[in-house]
Amino acid sequence: MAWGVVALLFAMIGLGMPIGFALMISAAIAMALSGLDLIFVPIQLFSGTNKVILLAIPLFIFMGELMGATSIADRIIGLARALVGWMRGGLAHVNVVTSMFMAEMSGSAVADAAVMSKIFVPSMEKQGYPRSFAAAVTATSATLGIIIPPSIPMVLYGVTTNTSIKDLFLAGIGPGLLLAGAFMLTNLAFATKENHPVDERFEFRRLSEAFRGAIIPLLIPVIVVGGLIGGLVTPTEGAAVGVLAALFFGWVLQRDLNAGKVYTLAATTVRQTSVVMMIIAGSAVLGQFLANEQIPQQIANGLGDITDNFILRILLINVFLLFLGMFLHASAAIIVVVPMLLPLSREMGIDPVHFGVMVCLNLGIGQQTPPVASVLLTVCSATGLRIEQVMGYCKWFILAMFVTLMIVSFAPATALWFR
Amino acid sequence: MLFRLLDRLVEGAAVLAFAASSVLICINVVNRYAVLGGLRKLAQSFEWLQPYYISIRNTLGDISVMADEVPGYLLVWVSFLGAYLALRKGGHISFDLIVDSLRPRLRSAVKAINLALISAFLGVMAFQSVRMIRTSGRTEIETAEIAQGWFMLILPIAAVLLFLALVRAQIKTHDTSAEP
Repeated sequence: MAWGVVALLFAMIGLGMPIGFALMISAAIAMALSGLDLIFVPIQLFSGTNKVILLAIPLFIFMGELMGATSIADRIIGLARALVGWMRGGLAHVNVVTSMFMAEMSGSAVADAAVMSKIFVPSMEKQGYPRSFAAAVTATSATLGIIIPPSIPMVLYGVTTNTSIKDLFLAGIGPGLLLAGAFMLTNLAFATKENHPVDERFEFRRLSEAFRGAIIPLLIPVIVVGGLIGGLVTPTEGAAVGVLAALFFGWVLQRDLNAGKVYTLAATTVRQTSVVMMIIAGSAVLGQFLANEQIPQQIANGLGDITDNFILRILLINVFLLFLGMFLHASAAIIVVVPMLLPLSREMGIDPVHFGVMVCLNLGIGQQTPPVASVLLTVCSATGLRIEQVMGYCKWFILAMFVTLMIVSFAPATALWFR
Repeated sequence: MLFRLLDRLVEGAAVLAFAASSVLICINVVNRYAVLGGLRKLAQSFEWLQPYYISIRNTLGDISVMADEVPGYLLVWVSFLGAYLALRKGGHISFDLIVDSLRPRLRSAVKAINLALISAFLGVMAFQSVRMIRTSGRTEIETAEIAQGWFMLILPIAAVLLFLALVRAQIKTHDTSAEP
């Protein structure tokens, strides 16, 4: 019957039911058929969402919203231009470096893509870049938001698998830098082939001015992640400190925020949070049932039985996650599917922190690949381009992401350098 | 009109719950480092600060204990009130590719089945969460003299709110399709 429940779940998701409800309903049906008291449905819903650590999710979202509503993007872009604008294809590199800095503040690729596409696509087009190229760079570089700390999918992974969020955040730094490097190399290849322009000459004075302008907003994520790494604060407390610092920066120092704006941003945060929390609530109900039926072990055994070869098994896991990422939202994939794969990764001796980074990279690629492609669709909707137009360039950046994924998968030291 | 008022009420309550939980977390950090760290050292050096230090320590200390538990309970309120707001704006994550490719009549049928299933589930959720509150709602949480039933109350409330949001969405769809 357990497999029937899994099939029912995927059927409901396939037929357009919101994923959170699909999880709750399939669990309730399974419980009813097993003769369990349905009072466990609200009990699991309540206990599944009642966790202080999960408060880090809305707090990181709120921190990103607050930072996005201030003049911070201009300052960060100024710094990125001074740093890499002198290279051939300057503005495309600036796009990547800005996404890298913004990733430290928002933790969400979709949020980064929405902001960046409005800023970069018109300005790159003005400098002569093809619009679809600008959109492709913006969409793919936004993935850095879920690799470089703080990262909401990593918080979810940490909570779901009981892995240290601090370690996950640290592990994201190396692969995040690798990924940014891969994007810049791809930019450089196109810049050479299509003769993209240089943005502005390098001047040390401009760099130091830009750095001074951006130092306070850049310090906020450093304080958050630094406090976490130093063991001074928990992830939830770190996120709360980040919110306080962002409020201080935006409201007191910059005067970009007021009570009305903060309320609106908080309301947006609440809505975005609930979307993830409903999936968490639903999986709390279903997860217990599937664990009792030993479905994760069966999946692990099934995948493990295909081959004994370590390399092939890693490739198999990556293909499975890539395929899944094409259809499922990152949060849903982590909450629902990662517990199923964890027994296999443990059996293979993969460090759970390393596995977490692999999962996030895979799902990051999934955010760029149709049909779901949440980040790519956000950029397409902001730029008015069709997916197939952006895909012409995007596929090369996805290839760069895949190469990075392979490096991180087969060289754990790229993620576990800090141990 | 009524729905707009309800939306504002729910939004206000959700933001309030989010703000309260954030403040509790911040108080925990402030108490640990500013009061038990900085202020305590100052109070050791300057005697006149002692009564202020003790008063602040006791007040924040009591709140700080709650901060280990209450924000989690408030997050349940944030989540389910937010779920209503997200449903009103069509914000919940779903995979619409297959449904959108169906013929209009088949699409309507699939949507009707989804709606019926969600409504039935919300009915079960409302009934069973009332049972849960009657069974264990009087038990107090560990860090404060608050019955956990107050926090559990959000589940039946959310079931009703989500059902209302579904009904409203249906009325809107019907009105739109009825327009010439």
